[in-house]
Amino acid sequence: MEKQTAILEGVRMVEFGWAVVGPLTTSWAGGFGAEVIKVETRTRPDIIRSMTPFKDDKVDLDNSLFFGRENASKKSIALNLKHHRGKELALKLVANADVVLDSYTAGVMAKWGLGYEDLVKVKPDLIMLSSCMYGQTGALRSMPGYGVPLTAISGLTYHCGWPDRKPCGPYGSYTDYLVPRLNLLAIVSALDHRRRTGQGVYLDAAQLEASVQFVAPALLNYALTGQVAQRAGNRDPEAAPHGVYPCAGKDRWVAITVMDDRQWKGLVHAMGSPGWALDPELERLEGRLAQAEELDQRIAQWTGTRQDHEVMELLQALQVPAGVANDGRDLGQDPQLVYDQYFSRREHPVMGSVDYAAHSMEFSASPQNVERSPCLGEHTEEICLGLLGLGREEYQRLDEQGVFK
Amino acid sequence: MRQDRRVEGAAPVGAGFLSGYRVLELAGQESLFAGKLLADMGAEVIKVEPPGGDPARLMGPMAPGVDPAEASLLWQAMNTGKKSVILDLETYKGRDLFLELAATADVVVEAYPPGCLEDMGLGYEELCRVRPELVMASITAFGEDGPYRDFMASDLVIWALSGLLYICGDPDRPPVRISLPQSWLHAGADAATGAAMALFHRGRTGQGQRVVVSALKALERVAYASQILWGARGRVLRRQGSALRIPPMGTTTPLIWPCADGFVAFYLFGGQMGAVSNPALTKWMDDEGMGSEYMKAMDWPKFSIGHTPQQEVDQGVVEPVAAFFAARTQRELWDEGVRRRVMVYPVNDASGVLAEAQLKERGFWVRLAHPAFEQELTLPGPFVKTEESLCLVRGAAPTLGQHNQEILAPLGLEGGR
Repeated sequence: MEKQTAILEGVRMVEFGWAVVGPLTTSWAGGFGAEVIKVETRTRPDIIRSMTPFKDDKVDLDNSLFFGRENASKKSIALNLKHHRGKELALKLVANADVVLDSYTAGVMAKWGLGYEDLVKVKPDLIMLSSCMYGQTGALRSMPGYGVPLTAISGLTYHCGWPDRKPCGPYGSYTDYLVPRLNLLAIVSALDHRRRTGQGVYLDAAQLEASVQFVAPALLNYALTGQVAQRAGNRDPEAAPHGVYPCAGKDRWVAITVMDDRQWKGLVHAMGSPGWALDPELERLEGRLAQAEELDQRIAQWTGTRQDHEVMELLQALQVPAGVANDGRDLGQDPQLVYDQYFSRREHPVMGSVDYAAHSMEFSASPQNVERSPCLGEHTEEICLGLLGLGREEYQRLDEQGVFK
Repeated sequence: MRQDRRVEGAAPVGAGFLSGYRVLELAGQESLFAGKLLADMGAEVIKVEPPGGDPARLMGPMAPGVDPAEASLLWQAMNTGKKSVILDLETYKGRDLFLELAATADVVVEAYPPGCLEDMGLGYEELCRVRPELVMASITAFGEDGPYRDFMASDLVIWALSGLLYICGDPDRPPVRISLPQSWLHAGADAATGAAMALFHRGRTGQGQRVVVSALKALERVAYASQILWGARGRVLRRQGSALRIPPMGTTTPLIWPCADGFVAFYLFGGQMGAVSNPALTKWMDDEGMGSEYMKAMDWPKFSIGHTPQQEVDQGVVEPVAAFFAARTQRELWDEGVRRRVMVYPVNDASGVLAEAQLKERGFWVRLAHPAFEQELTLPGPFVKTEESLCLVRGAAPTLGQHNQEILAPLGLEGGR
């Protein structure tokens, strides 16, 4: 077989990122062959280097699994941007790069003398994407924030939970895991555009504007009809039964969704055709929707004594959509994820063995290689002596001056 | 024939990032968002619909009093800027016509069950016979191979198997999803990215290829914390609802708080994380005559929630803050919170999102005329802004078969069959 070339091979990206959105965007690009250089500093470390969980609960900037998971497949250079030589080296990095990503609030890069206007002078066809909460313009442009509130502002939190209770919202910083998908789309589209036109571009990527795409039908509905969509637990207005049901064991659950009349027949058959399920009213969606509450109770009685996997296999064999609610332990053993080799085990010098997740896409002719996350400043010397062309003596002098802190 | 499309030369400047590429998007709700994003990026996206229309045209919410084929607001939101042709892929003739059309295309986006297109004679290899450099983006629930290959999927089932469902919801009730389906949006965004990457690769090497997206993997990523907590400590992460439980004492604080007209989100952080918001909130409450002596006496950077007993946190902080929030509206809290640097945010419903001043100020919303609707349709604008408007919502969703003549006639084909 001929050697496969990674799609982004030869593309160099410099990341001025922190937390999740910026780092995850470039991490994915790194998995597809881009050379990603993360610019960070010990004077103010990336906040998720200090966030749990730590491997074996040992608190250390190089031991956070959270940081590791969002920073696979990249290099780390430690640069103190407050030092003029640090800034100079950052500019030199950019002059040798194709793409710059920053995820600070609007104005921070410019304050360091690293705004788009500054960078485009050293790299005229630069592609730069700035991903902050609210965008580079507008009254909120310099408001800090993070994914949890953004999930609330963009309308997602409101729609997660039970109609008779306050919303609970999805787990954690949900939008942090949708925004990088769109950031990467913008970057690769800009790369192809530059390939065809020779032109770079500045991308103002407001995380709020990416996030509200995920509730667009509800927004259109409100604007047109005045109807405000409400959270509905696990119900669906166009399918019943549609829910999450308890199984044998502690906190074990299976999702079952009957999307059409044929699947209802499958579910009835799987349950052993009990008398209550043979009601002809239930053969049609309208009838099932009208009795949704009662159906949920009946199905919960049936699943309650069974193993979650048993219910899933039985229903799937009858072509009824059903799935175990996998927990953190299950995921590493999930037959499909194992089959796909979704997690790659890598040896990290501080954390030891760590399982890194892949991106959801696989190409037929181009590889995805997930490499371990870097320690803070791990590649400083390599990049300085190599790409930046410093002599060893100068490197040591700058090091003593605190440029690589 | 459209020989110009095969030339990887200069793209029309200013039109869009992906101008000059033709994308064929096959039927099914799973593909909608991928095609919409590629259209926003400037590609010509042609929705290939069966004679009765894409089944996704029947998915709610539905607008009342509108032609049923055009009334789906999910459809209207997810098909902006596309074209529509009707081809019956169930017939030999329809498939032949599709192959003619595929010969002019750069990308096919599809979400048929694994193996289905191959059975129809329209698999990637067959399509490459008429268009050797074709890119194909396939959206699957669980992958195109493996133990779940033939599993039936739905949004909720993908949530379940991905691990995301398990960690969402109140602890005393079953795990719960977001009521607005999300799986195909995450997977669709990835498929659009995959298509753009494959086009970039083709431009550099001349080689087309196929990209397969797994919605299962896409959503697992959203459940990030579940697998790493198991990896770190062998502990199973459980759903906490709208509250945060902090070790070692397990002190719990609310995340979602009722206010006068809805809900707001406010994270009570300890230590440095709360060093700005907490004193600012303390002062704000005091300024408005609702101050808490406990909060006023607190040295906030040293406040450690996990080391403070539940009752002390409840009486000293949570109850006074809850009373303060309950007496104010979302907008009052959000606007004044921004001014005072207190991180309190609205839990917006659809009306709240539409009312966000920041989005209005940035001219985010687009208004589109559609022949089946008397009113204009208000929709989110582009997800990324450039001075040159290279990403742009380019027009309303097409009516069924609207572009049969335009697309099929130059190929010497007749549509509508």
